[in-house]
Amino acid sequence: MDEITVLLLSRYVDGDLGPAETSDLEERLRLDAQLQKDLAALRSLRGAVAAAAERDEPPAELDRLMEPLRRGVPEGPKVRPWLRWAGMAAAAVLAVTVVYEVDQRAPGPKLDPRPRGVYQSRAAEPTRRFALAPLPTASTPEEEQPLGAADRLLASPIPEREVAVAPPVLEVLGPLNNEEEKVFAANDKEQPHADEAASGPPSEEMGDSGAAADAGRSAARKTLTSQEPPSTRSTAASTSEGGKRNEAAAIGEMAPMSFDGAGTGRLYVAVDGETIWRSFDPKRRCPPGRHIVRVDIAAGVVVKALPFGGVQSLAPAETCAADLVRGLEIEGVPDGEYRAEVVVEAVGAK
Amino acid sequence: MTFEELYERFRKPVWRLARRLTASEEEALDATQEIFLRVWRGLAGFRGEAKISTWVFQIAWNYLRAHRRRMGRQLHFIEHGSETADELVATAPDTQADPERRVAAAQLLDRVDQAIGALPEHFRVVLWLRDGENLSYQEIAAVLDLPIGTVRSRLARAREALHRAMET
Repeated sequence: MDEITVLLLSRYVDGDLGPAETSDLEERLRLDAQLQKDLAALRSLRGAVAAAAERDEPPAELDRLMEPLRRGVPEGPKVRPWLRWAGMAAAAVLAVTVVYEVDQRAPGPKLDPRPRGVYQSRAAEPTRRFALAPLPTASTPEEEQPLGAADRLLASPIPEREVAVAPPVLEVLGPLNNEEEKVFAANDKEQPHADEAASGPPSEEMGDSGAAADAGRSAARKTLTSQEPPSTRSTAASTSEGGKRNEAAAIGEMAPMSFDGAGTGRLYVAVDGETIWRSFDPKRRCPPGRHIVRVDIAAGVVVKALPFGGVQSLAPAETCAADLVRGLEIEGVPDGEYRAEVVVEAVGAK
Repeated sequence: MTFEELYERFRKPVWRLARRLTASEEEALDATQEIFLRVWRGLAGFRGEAKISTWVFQIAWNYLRAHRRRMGRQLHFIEHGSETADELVATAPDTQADPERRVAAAQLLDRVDQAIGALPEHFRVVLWLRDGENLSYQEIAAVLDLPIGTVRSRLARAREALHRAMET
């Protein structure tokens, strides 16, 4: 069959031919048995393709994964937004005021908001690493808001000093950039650690923007690394007995975690060199530690979360962490895809 | 139209297209999510200048084409290897036919699926949008950003190629 005829037959079955072309082709069909067979075969194949489409059902998992979007997120408490903000602000004000007052009145060293550990000054940091989600500033100047004090508390430079470390604790500095990964890798070679086997390969997805020039932070990390291996800077990982174990095994072996108040989770989203975060109660068991995930945020809700490496990633810890934050609300993050870090801590884990 | 309505209407077509232009069911699932996320984001800006089906398929095709580039390879449809003839029979529309005919029909559909998967992508997508999803030539031209004459000729060649593949 020549190309012209193929084209004519194809258009004919779709009703795309004009009256004259249709008439000519039908005349040929009356005289040509082979052409009739070709036409019948073409129609049959069209039907078969349509039938193949008809039987193809998406997996049920798709509906589950699409649930946040289908719900028409965000779906928060049924209160007016400003009331919600006011409530959150009042709670934060109260908490900060109480902590600050108690600290000022108590004898001894003043409040240090940082976890204890060996660290150096972070004064060189250009911006605070973990900003609170923006709060409304409708009528009150920022400097008069108690939350401003909280911000300053979080962002205040830490004096350089050494503190006895017991027990090792998690320090969260946000996603690493490539340069920091190299520093970690170099440190690891110099100082092999018992827990090294528990840490996976450096995550190629870790941060690559802004912080490369952040020498102070790198220095802080470097110091921290001398005590804890990369990727396992968690309480549970640091206190493990060491030895060879992989991530999958870590799930099975992890310390008993009860999430009725005994476990904590935090989601950090890197936005334009700043990190916006929130804490949450983990709804399921996940290996404690820092897990890098990719999140899609729409209207302040994590509508999608995947381990870095996408569905090809089989790292169970990252997959578990991604599951934890899916559907989570996080204010102050514009719609888009972000690199994020999920930190799971087993507070009080044995 | 709400997103929920859009999702209900297009979940199968988008899934089917993704399934035929990605290498595995997992990839297709991921792609389908990404496509609907883009639909969700763009819905507020949709002004009805095109048919809603054209708009959704455009988003799907643009994503899948970019996905193929990211993967750096020509994506091939993978046959429905996990579906047995019995499972297909259970979902076949002609439940009144005798068992032998139903099995034969299911096997034929398997072969059709495999043959479609073996077509070059530019044939496969045109064929699928026309015969699988019943889009008009004009809609296909808009979705793929091609002249309508190109759609006609590609479709004819794709059908011819499929015909030959089924004969062997």
